[in-house]
Amino acid sequence: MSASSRETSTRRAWPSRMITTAQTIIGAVALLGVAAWVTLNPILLLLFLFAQPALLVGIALFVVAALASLASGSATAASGANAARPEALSHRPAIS
Amino acid sequence: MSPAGGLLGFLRSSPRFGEGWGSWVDWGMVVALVACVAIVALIVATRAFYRHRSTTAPALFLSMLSLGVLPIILVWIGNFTAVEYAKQERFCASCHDAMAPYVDDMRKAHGTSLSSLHFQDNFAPTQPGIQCYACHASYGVHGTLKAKMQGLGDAYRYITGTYRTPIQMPTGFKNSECLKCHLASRLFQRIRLHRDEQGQISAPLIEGTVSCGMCHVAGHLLGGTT
Repeated sequence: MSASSRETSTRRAWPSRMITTAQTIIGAVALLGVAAWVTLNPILLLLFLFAQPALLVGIALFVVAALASLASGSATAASGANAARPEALSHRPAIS
Repeated sequence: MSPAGGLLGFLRSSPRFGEGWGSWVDWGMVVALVACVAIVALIVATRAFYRHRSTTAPALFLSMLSLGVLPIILVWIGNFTAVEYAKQERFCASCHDAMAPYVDDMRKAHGTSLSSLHFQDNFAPTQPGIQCYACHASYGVHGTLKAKMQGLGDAYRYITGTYRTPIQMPTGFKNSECLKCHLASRLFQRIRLHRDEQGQISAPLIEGTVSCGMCHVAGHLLGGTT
């Protein structure tokens, strides 16, 4: 992979990474919420309350990533697939 | 230290004081739990089906649900429900060593402590199930915030084990917590000792220089300890 294609890869991958980060943050808080609400353990409930700002951070990350994806036009079935795998584009044979 | 039976136990015992299931705290708990489960399920589904295509339109739609709509609902409903649930005596009794003796004393069917007498007569000014909160927190947002801040301190001491039993209130029980309900009642006003020579409510009572507890039995009776 050339330097320019690597740069393109990084640029295209960051929304995907942001979505992964958002999924990790929000998923962790949701799991904590499941544990807290099922057991009604006061410590878990307090932790769940304190974790609420993390939910807002996750939502913000997703919104930024989604807007970036939509703005770059990658939010389509075909190009989106390639956007997540830019190496597929860089190794595509030239059309003569 | 969680209430017996967790959420299911709470919901099963929910029809109380003649009310059916379905108070908004009940619903809030169920909606918050469903939202949490749905978020986890949708994230797992997105990771499974769109692992390398997270910025495609279908993946973004799924993510909009799991990372946008549902978390917003969870922030709103989850916070409100947790704060309201934390007002219930069941929550207070969760800290078994420290708080449970006080709640047990309050729930005694033939108890003679003030808390037990209030509980027997269902003297909770707003809604059932929050008897601790009714007497130990002032009215309004200010009272709620103050109680929550104090509760955080109590939770910290409980988690770190830096408390002694029987626990004591940091500032004693203020007259204002009694007077917020009793001041306007005719029964209270009829008592001669509550009034001064002009027939007005006694100033030392309102100012708190004379404690209600000087004449009245203790709020809680824990084997002779208040």
